[in-house]
Amino acid sequence: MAGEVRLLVVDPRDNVGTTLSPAAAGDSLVLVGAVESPPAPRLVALTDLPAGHKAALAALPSGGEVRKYGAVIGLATEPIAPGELVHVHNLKSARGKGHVPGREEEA
Amino acid sequence: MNFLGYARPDGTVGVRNQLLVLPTVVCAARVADLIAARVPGAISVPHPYGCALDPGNNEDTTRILIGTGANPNVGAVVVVSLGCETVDAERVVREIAAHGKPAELVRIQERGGTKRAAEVGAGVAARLRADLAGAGRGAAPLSKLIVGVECGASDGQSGLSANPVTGVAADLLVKAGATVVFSETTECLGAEHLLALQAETPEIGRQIVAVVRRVESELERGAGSDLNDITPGNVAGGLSTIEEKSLGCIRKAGTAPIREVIAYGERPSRTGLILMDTPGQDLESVTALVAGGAQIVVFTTGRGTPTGAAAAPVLKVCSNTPTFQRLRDDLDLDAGTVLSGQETLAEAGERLFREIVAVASGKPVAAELGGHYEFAVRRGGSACIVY
Repeated sequence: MAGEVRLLVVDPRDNVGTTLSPAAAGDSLVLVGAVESPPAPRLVALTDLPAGHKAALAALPSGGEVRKYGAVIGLATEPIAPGELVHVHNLKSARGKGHVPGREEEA
Repeated sequence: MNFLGYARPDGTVGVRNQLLVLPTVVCAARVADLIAARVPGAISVPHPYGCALDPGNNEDTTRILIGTGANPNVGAVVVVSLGCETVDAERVVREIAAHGKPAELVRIQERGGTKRAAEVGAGVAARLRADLAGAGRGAAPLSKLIVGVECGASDGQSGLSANPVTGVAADLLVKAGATVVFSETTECLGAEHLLALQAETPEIGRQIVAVVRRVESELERGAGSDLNDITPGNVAGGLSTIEEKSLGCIRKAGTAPIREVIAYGERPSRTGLILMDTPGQDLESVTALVAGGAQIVVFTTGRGTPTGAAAAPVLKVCSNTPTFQRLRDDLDLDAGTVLSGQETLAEAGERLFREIVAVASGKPVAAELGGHYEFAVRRGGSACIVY
């Protein structure tokens, strides 16, 4: 039987949440934090999610901004489905060594 | 509110009363260890720096050695020199002594080698130790406290528990008149727009953006390498990008206005919340905070780290309960309680604030009980390597 894992949303503008304990694919993710409740919104984990890892709250397009703490934490490198793990395999920094030349000019 | 500390001649107040044995150069590290081993309570600070450095690194190392010896927690210093190094040992002694504390020089070449220098040094150290033993603690206001806040071995929960809990404590400290210094310019990258808004004046905001821009240009030089801008441990703990790490990292500074941006190892000239421009390597940053006068460093961690600092207690706050239990001997406070719902952020922050005051009054931290007195100075290019 699938379990329940809390997914912390820091800011209402965020499109990812962070697991507060490990989740297995198929587990129910109960959103807590900056979400309206009750009733608590729910998602289903599409992949295994270790504790402290991120899951998408909504479908994210390739190249789209990923938001946590109400700010941009990088860009999606492929389309990401709700409940899917968001990590280094599908999220890339836009700063530091990942700096995209000309990005300030575009912004 | 008061804490119980050691009043120093320069008007500062120590939370410890250490006798430091400080080598100016790697060649003097062994003798410093031998001296400290012969005098109970003496702490040696072995390090690999001190000679044949370029002018910038030589000055950095010299200033950090002086700042460490001058830290209010240090009651007296034995400076151990080889005799031919590029760091000016006499200047180190002179500038520490200018703070009104005993500082004495032992030169290995002058004394005739390891054995004799260690004997002479141990005699000097024993005499200084006896003088220190007479000092007692007295009440001092929290406005005399400089608290560094640092994070290291962070994970995906650091920014959700340990860092915001530390931010609550930082706000309480600033409200009580204390100074809080946060650092690691690399870990402001992606969050500088928020820090600039938190600055007391637009000019300070521009300084914050400028130091972050400088660090980013240094990082760009490493583009194309296999090194990420965050550590393998950060990634294993759920952090994906430097922006995510930074946005979680800055929460430990709290919400007070940022009143000054200071250089590596510099002492703040104002009270309140201060940003020190340091690399992201934990110990290079902690050492600079302590050299800048911080008597206590609050260090948040998710993966867990045992580290301490040469001249200040490092109070460690863990982001999650499983790591706290696994590294129990190395950590002081569990902030995982705010994730499990046992405590609110405000409650845990208040608990940390009370713990900081207790440590200031003499309660030992895990790092001290474990004998951790780490010391590291930044090197040119520090920002370019993985952190």
